[in-house]
Amino acid sequence: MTRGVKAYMGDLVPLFTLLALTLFFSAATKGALLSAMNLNNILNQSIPPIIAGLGMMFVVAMGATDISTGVVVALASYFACMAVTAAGFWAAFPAAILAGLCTGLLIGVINTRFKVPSFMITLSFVISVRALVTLMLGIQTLQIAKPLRDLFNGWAVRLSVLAGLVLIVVYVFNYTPLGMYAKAIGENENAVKYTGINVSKVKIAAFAISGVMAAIAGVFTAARVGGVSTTLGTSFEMKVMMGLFIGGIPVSGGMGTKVSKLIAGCLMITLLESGLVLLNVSGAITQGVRGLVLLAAVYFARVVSLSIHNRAEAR
Amino acid sequence: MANIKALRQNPRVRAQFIIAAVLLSLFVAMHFVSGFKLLSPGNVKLLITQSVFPAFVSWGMMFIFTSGIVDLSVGANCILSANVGVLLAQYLGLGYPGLILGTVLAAVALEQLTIFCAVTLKIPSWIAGLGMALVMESATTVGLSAYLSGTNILWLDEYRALGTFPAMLAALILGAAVSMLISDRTAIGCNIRAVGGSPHVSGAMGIDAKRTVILGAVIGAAFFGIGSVFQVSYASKFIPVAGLGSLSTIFNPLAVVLLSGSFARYINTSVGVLVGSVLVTSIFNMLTLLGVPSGTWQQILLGAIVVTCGMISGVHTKGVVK
Amino acid sequence: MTSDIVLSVTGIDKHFGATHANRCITLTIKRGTVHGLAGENGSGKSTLASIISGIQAPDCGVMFKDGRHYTPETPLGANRQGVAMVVQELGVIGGLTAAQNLFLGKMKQFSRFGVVNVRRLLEAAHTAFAKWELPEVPLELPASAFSIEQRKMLELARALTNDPDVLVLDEISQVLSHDNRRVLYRFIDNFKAGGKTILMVTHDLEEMLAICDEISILRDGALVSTHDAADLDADKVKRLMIGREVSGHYYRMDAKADYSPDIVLKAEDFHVPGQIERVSFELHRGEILGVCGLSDAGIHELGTALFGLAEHRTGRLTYIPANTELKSAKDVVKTHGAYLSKDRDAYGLMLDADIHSNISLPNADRLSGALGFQNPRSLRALSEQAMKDYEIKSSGLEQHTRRLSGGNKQKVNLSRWLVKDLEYIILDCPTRGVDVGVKAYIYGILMELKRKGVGIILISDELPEAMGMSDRIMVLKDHRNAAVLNREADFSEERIVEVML
Repeated sequence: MTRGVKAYMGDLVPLFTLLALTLFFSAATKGALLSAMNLNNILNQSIPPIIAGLGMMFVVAMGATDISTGVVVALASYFACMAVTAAGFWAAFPAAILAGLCTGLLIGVINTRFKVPSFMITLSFVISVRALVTLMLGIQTLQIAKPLRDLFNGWAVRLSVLAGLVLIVVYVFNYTPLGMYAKAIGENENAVKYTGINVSKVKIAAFAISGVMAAIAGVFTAARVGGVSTTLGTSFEMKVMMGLFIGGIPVSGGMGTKVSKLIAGCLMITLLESGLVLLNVSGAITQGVRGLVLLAAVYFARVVSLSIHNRAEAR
Repeated sequence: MANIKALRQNPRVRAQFIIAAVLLSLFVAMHFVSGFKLLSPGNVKLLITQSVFPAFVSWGMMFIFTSGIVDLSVGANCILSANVGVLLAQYLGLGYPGLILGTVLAAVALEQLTIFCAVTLKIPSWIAGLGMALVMESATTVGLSAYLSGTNILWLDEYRALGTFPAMLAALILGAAVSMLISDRTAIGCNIRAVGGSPHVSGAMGIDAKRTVILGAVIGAAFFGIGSVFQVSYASKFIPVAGLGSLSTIFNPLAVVLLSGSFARYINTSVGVLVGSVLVTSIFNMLTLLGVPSGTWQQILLGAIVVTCGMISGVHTKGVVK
Repeated sequence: MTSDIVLSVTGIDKHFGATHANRCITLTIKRGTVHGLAGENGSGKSTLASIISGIQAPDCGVMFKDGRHYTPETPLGANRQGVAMVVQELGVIGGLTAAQNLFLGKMKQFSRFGVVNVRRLLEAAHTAFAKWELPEVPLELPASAFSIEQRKMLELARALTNDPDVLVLDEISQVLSHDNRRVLYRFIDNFKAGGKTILMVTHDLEEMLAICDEISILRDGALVSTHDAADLDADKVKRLMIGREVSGHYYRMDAKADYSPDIVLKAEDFHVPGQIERVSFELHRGEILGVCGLSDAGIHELGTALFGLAEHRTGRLTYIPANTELKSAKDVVKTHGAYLSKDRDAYGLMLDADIHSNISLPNADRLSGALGFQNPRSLRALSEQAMKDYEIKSSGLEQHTRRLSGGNKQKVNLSRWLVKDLEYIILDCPTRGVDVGVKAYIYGILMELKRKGVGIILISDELPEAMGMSDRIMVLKDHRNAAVLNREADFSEERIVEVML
């Protein structure tokens, strides 16, 4: 059973890193990091990337890429705000989810039907969907309706929505064929195809889930900042991706994709940013640190997984 | 040598004729649509001037992408290198040599960093590119705000001769010639394609893949470095951006590279890049002439063009696409 | 060492995982001869050719060329020591022109100040073809525009630019048309006349007997014997290749076709452009239908197409008991069908995932209940069942599949389909890359399935296997159904080979 323990240790690496980061920044900020208010902040800021990450995980598990998350946040929040004004408070969710779903489906169809790499499609979406939001918004900034903002003010609602979504995704990802197929595509797409599974359908579903979760994250974000502007969600996708990769999810996807890693990773990246803010580091430097952390995370994730693999191989 | 009849029967030449005819009618059509403004002498000058930067970046990306590296940090690299050049030329008094050499050497050095991440650290190239883009954008902002106060825009006031029309036209022609020379007439150009095509076979033929990718990146970076020199000379500034805004800088070139790549069977890729850059520039110029707003509708169209180019180049793709 | 021996190999041994591809092979090749390597698929002749070419390193053994140690660590190293090759693994690069492909890695000799003199390059390329009277390909076009024949000629010309004194040709004539084969034979004569040597691997025995001076026969990775071609005929080579003592005991013993008259699958005018030409056949309950043909006849493509994974497929495939047309892979799985690809590692298993995931994959959909719920326990029970029933040797369900032996990998691959009740199964070379023990085990499973009434399509590269196991054999030639032979009447190697060629 030693191999089981070793694989388990591999999964624990992100947790140790999280612990080390916490210790470092609480020392550097002389404890300010762990003040009640800041912890509150960190948790609050981690919610949108965790939610979006829950969706993006399906895409990453397949070894594909979705960097449209940030613009979906903006698009979905825009429709949410419009729906609230037009049809009332509860219309926000279906409107946002529909926007995310359509974007995801479109990406999936282009990817599978026309064989365009997902990364290229979503990159184009970053440009054109952002422009679309700008076009629709004009120069105004939409305020989000007060009831929606209030709804997300309470911890009870925020945490229960988060917990609910985590449970749903854990279920779909680990206990249904869809989750298994997504991970299997990351391991060996041809093998999945040759067992008679419709790979295109799985892919389209994964992109759709990613879009929907990004949309829900968008409603959260809009509720927190109080409205939609043309820059809402800019580089949000990088934060989510970093959460995934820092948590130790392999870039090539596969069976190593796990919800727990995502949550640890998102907490880490928020903690890191919060620490930097407390240390009065400028936004530009924070961005640079993000870049370096992304590179380091992907590099070390590969090295760690290789060494675990090799050790197992050597025995 | 060969007579005209034989040429006409050559499928490649026939395809070239068809493509030329389609392009010509496209331009004439756009000329009509724009209310006879697009191909007016003054506007043609503008088209050529505005095509220089995308063309050079596309040539540069062609060399890097062909060797198998998908680098997204090129835009951030251009911005940072151009500002280094301006700094050296104007603020440290090194004049034209400072501007040109400074920009090009900075571009080459920075590109090597990205290549190091991708090749030596074995980080998937698109992630290496994104990470380096974040770092370079941040370095530009941090560096400039340390040097300037109150603003982070560095203006090039003198040394702008390269941004004038005759120089820009010459650059476009020379650029195409040099790109053709390197990619079709040198061993390294051939090796880059070989390594991108099959590392296994080229390795067996004695080609060092790592060295080839690095050299390809040096050549590519020199190209987009020179493009940045012309761009900063023409526009007099290269504004730093944040949050991966630099990606939009390379969107035009990305479309052009994809498009010229999928027509590689019929048209020399270097020439394809030249034609593609002028075409894409003209399309957006026409839209501007028609009063289509540039921040919104044009961007939406740009995204659509990139995806369409991806579809065209994906037509013959077999196998797994992630 | 006498001077008329150009190349000698001594004690060459090579393993691929559990497969023992070359067993202590010792062989000498005389200068100025054409030396043939004969053997069935999997007999190790291609492995030996690739070791001599420097593509693979032997586990042990030494080689001498012209009396000196010959150590080709890479194909390039082999070239430097006067050995060149035309082999499957080293094709041409599509993005480069023919001339560039010819002199890839040797561009320096045409360069001045780094610039290649294209005129000189083209002249040299032209000379390379003209020197050996090979049909010239369009030198300035990218190789992606070429036909397979043109590519092969280009590879041959490329090998010859090294000015080798030993040339390795692995299955080159298979893709060549009649005209180009004559060109090849003329070239071989000229080459030999210059005192140079050719090592040739080919499936075409007649061709081999006609052009080779000496022929070495390999079986199960070991050298059987080397003969003067003049002392051999096709029958004798075949006898040596098959080896009487091997055939017989692990195949089925009965000499009679024996299956139910009920049809399971019916293919009508099955057609895939460029791969399969209007093939029709019927598969019965409890029948093993062998599918044989030369390697470019379309037998493997037929398997992929039957499973619904070929593009632009036309014609009908019907599952008769339910009278449903099978259009996609999903339809096949739904009607209790299954398919095993020839390339197990690329198209079968997830090598970096554990055994449990691999076994679960094709069964996940079937075992999921309301809301798609998969009970981890029932999945696990299924995997354990498969592992027990099919005697998969491993350290547990969590073991990574990559670390299993070839035979155990194949057992995982098979068992995950066999744990459910099948109506029919399409097997493409199920015993490829497994050792003799597992081979016998798999044949046992086939007989067991046959008894249960499962229809089996057995696509095979190995004639003895197809003959040993099938009730009927469908022979494909040039992508067409050339004949269907019956177990009691027509099962002889001569008869099948006659149809194949």
